[in-house]
Amino acid sequence: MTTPPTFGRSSRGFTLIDLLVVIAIIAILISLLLPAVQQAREAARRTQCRNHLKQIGLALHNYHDQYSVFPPGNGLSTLSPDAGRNVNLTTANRAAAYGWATYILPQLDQAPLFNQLNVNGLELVRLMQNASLRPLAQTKISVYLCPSDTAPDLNDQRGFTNAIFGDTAVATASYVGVHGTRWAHADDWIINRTDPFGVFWPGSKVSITDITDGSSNVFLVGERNWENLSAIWIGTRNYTGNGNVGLRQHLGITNWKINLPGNNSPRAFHSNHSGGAHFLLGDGRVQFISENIHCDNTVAVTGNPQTMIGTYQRLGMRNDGNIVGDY
Amino acid sequence: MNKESASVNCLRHSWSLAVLGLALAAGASGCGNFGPELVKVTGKVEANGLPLSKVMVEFQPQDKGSPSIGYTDENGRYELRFSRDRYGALVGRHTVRIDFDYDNGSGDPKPPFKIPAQYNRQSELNVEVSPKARQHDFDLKIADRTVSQAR
Repeated sequence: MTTPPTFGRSSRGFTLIDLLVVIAIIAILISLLLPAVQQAREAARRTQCRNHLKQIGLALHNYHDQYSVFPPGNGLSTLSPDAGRNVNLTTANRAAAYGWATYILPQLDQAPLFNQLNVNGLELVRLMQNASLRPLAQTKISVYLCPSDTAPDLNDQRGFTNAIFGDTAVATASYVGVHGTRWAHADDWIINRTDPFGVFWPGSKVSITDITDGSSNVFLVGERNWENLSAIWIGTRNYTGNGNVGLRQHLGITNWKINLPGNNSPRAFHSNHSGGAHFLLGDGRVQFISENIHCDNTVAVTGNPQTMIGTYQRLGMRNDGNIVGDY
Repeated sequence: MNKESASVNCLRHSWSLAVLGLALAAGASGCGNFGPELVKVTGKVEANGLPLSKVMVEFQPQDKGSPSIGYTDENGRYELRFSRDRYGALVGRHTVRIDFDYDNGSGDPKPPFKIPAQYNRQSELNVEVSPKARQHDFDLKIADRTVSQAR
């Protein structure tokens, strides 16, 4: 009947202190592990983003093999008042056109969508006026989305805002074509021959040989995240302007620094990856460009924006003739 | 008596151990400050002695580097930002550009007046940024009647 007091105490299992120590150890382990898990997830998303840009690069080069030029930044609407030259597009709603990302759909295994859109037969202006065909422009295409981008599937910040288009939000894209270092919307280019210095602009027909700086020294496509209103793949509502629902819908310029939020942001290149953004270069390579890259939009020769001296700016220009240093 | 005091001691010990561990873990995971060394820079922009709001202040390093940008508030005060996560500017000499952030052709509202080229495109503003020189104020001379009207 007598039980030894010491034995009874030690057989009761664990004490509160033991429990606390175990909880503390688990807490430490979890706190060590969680950031690592998060980083691994971001690393995976980054890899996937690179892969998407790589596929876009291959598609652009396949397009180039077929047609000897890269696709236009966007097509030109023949429905404009002066159909031949597209001069003085007085009604903005006639200046909607398919973008580069639509022209390479067949090269991205999206031929059925390309055929349904009837890109060569039906202009975007007409398609967007047709309520039964509009949903085609809302098709989610995963290759055009960076997994780190938090944008919704339909981009309501860069939609087809005119009533004639039903004020429609279309599918988001996280990638924009590189327009150069300054804007040249349709009237600029067609009337004044203002060269934006990039590879994509309204009605552009740039081939590899036009990239005189060498295709490995020029950006083709870059990223833009939801903080900066992302982009859309279908094209543009109005290529006669460069506002948020103009050329900024599918093109960007390297005039401004990477990943720096501010009023200027919706026209530049931004990513949710920390420290920089991915760019596709003319030779099909995808590179992570650090936000510490030499960036300087100072114009060396007054009045000639082609003489911007920053490495980042020079990478955005196809024909500046300057040597791109290390970056 | 003895046992109780020992257990209290042990309790304290385990708690301090846990806190230490957590602090270590937080320290190991928390610091994500990669990239060049930055100095926080703030200041005030005035035009003819009155605060100038909604202008962009850009510090462009004169050695190869990446600029920092700030926007003035209604009191003309700005703080430079280097990237999404980091505030400040690189150490060294900078050319400063002060202008409205207006994108020609975008359809955004036009700025109320022009800031002369000597403050932006052909800037004559040079400053030295160092840990001892974090405050940089600018007073622009703008001979434009709309400057006072705009406020």
